[in-house]
Amino acid sequence: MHEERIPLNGTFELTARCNLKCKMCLVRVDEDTISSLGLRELTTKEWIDLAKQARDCGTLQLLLTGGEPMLRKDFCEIYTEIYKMGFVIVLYTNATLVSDKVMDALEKCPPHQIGISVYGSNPSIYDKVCGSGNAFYRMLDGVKKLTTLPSSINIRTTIIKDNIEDYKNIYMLAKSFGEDITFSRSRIVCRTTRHGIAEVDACRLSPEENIDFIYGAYLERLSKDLIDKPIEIEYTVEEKKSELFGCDAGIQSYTITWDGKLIGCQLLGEFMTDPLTEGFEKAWETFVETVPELKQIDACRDCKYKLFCMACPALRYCETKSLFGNPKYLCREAEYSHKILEKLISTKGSEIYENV
Amino acid sequence: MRVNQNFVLRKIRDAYIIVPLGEAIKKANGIMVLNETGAYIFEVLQEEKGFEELVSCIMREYEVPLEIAKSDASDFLEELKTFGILMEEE
Ligand code: SF4
Ligand code: SF4
Repeated sequence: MHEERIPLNGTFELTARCNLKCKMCLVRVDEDTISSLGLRELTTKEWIDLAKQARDCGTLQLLLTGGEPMLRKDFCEIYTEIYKMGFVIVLYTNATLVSDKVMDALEKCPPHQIGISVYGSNPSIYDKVCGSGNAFYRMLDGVKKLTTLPSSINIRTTIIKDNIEDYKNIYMLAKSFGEDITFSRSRIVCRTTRHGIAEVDACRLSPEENIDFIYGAYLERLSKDLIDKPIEIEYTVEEKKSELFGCDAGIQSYTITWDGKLIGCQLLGEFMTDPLTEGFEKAWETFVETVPELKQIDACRDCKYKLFCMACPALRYCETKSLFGNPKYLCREAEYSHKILEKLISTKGSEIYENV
Repeated sequence: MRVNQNFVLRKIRDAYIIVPLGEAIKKANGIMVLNETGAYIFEVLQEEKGFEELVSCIMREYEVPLEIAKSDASDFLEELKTFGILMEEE
């Protein structure tokens, strides 16, 4: 088993800290919490060493993220050293700390892709979502600089109660940054992981609002297709292969957390090895041993919403702190998707009937 | 001729992959996968070499006749040129 494992895709969380305080941040931990937990971020040398080892073990794509990576005083040094090693580099940033020094480093070593998070189209939304109105202007300035690089740029947003009304404007703003720029939004806002301090429950959309937001248009189209060409909906789902988490995590990808642990994906907070003491290669090899075998979850066995269920082990973990927990948020999403699809089909059906 | 130093050769398991860096990221627009001969030529061209020199390296390394070495080399060099990987002296 797991013979094909290779750590091709890496994520380095260079820091847990951020200059912003987004209400929905998965990762952010502040300095006081870090020291009160008795933890620490890795040093310059530790990140560079880990990158070398990861390269030697086969990592091709490396995502540098945080927190906000540019908040580290040694960002340019770590970044430049890692870049020269020959990874395909993806850099995530909120673009509010793009100093001349940072631009100098990025011009010499342009990332292959930059993911820029944009959470509002004006200072007042930034104030509500990220705790700083001024950050909006700094983001604009940062984007202006970053878009001069030959890197491909992806504008990423996350929608919560405070910016849902602003969504269209955020999209328009992103498009105004340039023709080749791509735009993406996150599918779900999860509870924080590990020691993250954001209070996500208070700000995220309800499961029903989230489904309306993410899939509304899509479900409507789907229901139309079903009417035009009725098909049997079968409420069975193929069981996912039960290797580790059932996805690439731990098989082809991994994350090194801000405090230096190797985990399967950023959502997880257990099942980790310690590349700092054992070395990257051993930490990657022994990682599988930390993950319990996935088992059928009782509550899910006869669930009639399975077809719409987005739960994966890591999402379950994030929501419930157990790989086998029942993620109520996701269950409500699945139930709601099922319900609106049925409703759409039945109203469309009767419309057709009335027209006959 | 030699290869542009903005391209780095990576060996990942049995695969040889060229990663563009710096200004090259725009032009190359992605990674390139090489076979073993390709990777060998890429290594040889880390230093300035003429075509004849390159061909004799290939003949020695793979014990192939002149004609085969020549055609292998010129096919591959064409490919390198398309991606902006090869730098030729003016
Ligand atoms: S979501 Fe991004 S920008 Fe916001 S606090 Fe977290 S790391 Fe910072
Ligand atoms: S919707 Fe909930 S109960 Fe149903 S399969 Fe998904 S996680 Fe299990």
